[in-house]
Amino acid sequence: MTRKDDDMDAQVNNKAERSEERKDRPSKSSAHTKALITRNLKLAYGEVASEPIPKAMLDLLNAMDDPSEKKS
Amino acid sequence: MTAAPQGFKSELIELLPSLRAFARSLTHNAAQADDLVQDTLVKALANVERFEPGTNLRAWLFTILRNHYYSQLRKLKREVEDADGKFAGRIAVRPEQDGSIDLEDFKVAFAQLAPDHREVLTLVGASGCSYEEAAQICGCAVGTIKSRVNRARKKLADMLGLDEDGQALPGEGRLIQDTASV
Repeated sequence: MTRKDDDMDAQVNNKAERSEERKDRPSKSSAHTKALITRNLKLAYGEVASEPIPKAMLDLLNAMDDPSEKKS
Repeated sequence: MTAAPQGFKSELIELLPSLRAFARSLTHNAAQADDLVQDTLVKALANVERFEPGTNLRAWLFTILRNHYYSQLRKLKREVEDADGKFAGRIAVRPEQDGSIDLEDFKVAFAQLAPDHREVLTLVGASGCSYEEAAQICGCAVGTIKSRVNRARKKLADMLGLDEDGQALPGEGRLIQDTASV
């Protein structure tokens, strides 16, 4: 076997190994979809979370301090 | 009512935005979501003696909210749909050419997911819950949460016209109605 053949075999083997590695980890574009979904989830979630808290909810919690207030 | 542990109220107030966002992701209706949060607070305050100080208050509240939501859903025997939800089933979503998604399109697609898919995506993807915490809230195994998140993400990607490799599909976006039966 010539040196040239050895080089070619090495290249083929390396390529096969890299291909196996790629199978084991998520593809770049699959990670892109995941990131896209996560980003939009956080945006939608953040929109609601940043809204002012309704007064009725705060009143309910404030009534914890004074149980008599809750009855009135 | 039993006296609440020290710091309970302030922690509750801090968690209100997350509770409201989680409720909205389940009901996708602002008024229903706030009713759900209000009911959750009433239940939490009535059962404050069951909460162990030092444990995860967020998980405790999310669990109460979630259980109450499904309890109401079972009573209704069907999911309550708002007018927007009905309309949403008929519109098509197409990803932008640069691969981004319009937030409103995203919300429309998200609303079409089954409740169990919406809740896991919200818990794990948006609220910052760990898989373990989400499993505790949903009352199932961690593995179930992981596979549910994967299925939900795939479903959403499909509805948004993204293929599994994250690329925009050629031509028209898919009709959400075609993929809504989860």
